[in-house]
Amino acid sequence: MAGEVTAAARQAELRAEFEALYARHFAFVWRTLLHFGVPSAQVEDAVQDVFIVVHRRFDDWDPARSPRSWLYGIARRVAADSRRTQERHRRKLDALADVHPGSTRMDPRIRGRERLTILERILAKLDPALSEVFVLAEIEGLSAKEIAGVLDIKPNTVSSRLRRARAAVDRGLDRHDPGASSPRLRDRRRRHD
Amino acid sequence: MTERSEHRARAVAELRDKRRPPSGAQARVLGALRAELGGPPPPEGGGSPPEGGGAPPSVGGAGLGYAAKVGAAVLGLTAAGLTVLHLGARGVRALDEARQGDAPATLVISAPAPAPAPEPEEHEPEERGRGAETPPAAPPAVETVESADTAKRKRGSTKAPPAEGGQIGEELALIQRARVADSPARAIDALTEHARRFPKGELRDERDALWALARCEQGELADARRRASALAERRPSSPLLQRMMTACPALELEL
Repeated sequence: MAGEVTAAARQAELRAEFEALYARHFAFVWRTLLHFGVPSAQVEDAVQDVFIVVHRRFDDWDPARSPRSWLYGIARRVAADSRRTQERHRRKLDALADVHPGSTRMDPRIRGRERLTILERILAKLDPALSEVFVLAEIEGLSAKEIAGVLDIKPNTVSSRLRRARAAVDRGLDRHDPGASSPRLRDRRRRHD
Repeated sequence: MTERSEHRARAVAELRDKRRPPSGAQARVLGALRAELGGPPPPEGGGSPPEGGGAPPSVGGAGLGYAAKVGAAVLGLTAAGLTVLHLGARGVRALDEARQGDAPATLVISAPAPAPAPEPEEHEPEERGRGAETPPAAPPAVETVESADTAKRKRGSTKAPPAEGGQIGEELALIQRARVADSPARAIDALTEHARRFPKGELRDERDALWALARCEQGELADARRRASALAERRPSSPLLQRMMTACPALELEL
């Protein structure tokens, strides 16, 4: 009897820990999945998948480690799985489109209108190794050591990639709005006006 | 901070804001997780509790009473979830099932949220710029996506029932006509016919969603918002809402 009570108490404790982890890192997992290209309409399901894996592996998690490193790894795999499913879905849609030659489906037009921030466009063109470091550092605020742990690279490599990523992002932002970030270009524009 | 880095920081803030989870998503997913998982993880194994675990949001006392409550809740949630999935699947799934024989994730209906969870807390910013105090994280444990896949199969087995009689087929044909229309005006024509013939049809949600998007494309935002709001009121947790908001950001302000 005492054993049953202890087991139930332990289960309640684990449930509390799991839900605390969920509450603390839900938004991080959400953004990470978006970063890995999971469509916004599917993120909710993908987040659920991530936390199902977390729940299953909860006993294996070492709390001394950064939970975000662990969650990031799981989210990356779930996103890869989601992309494969998407690709299969897209192939089916393409096949369906052949049935209606000459017709333009609404979906592509809708996709074209999806709102993309300037930074998203820049990151999409950036070397994935650089954009990943940029997102983790700038958007998620992970330290160089955490990023090194997540990506299994050296902290020096993180720093160098982050430097290159920031320079590339700055160049992209300059191209989009030359006056906004470069005093020299802004002065030149002012003189021209 | 240089002007360049300020500019970059603004762009980062904009992107971060855009990727913020929508209101209520955290509670919805937690509800679906509770329904899916049923109870806490098995007690065997060694993980020691993380620091700052926090109090359980919905767990009552310890002991057998808790176990009984969990058991009852699981049964109740499962029954409620199956009912909702059965009803929802008829409307939401039918279209894409029929189109491609494999349900896309965009139209998966989440299980109902049984209890509201705390709203998004965004703790991460406080960890920004923390520097090197965090111990180096080991590479993430190897996870197999099959596990998530399996869970999805368990959770998402919301196959639409076969169409009943000819009505669903006719509805489908009209909705399909709207989807493949080469202009918003033609899409509206097909949707108008659907509304006339099947005012309370099985594919009413899809009709409203497509209607809102077509009107949005025409720049008729007032009508688009009215349609979107009608759908949001009728099905506040419909995945179609998010899709609409993504496709037509102008709707986001109103929903």
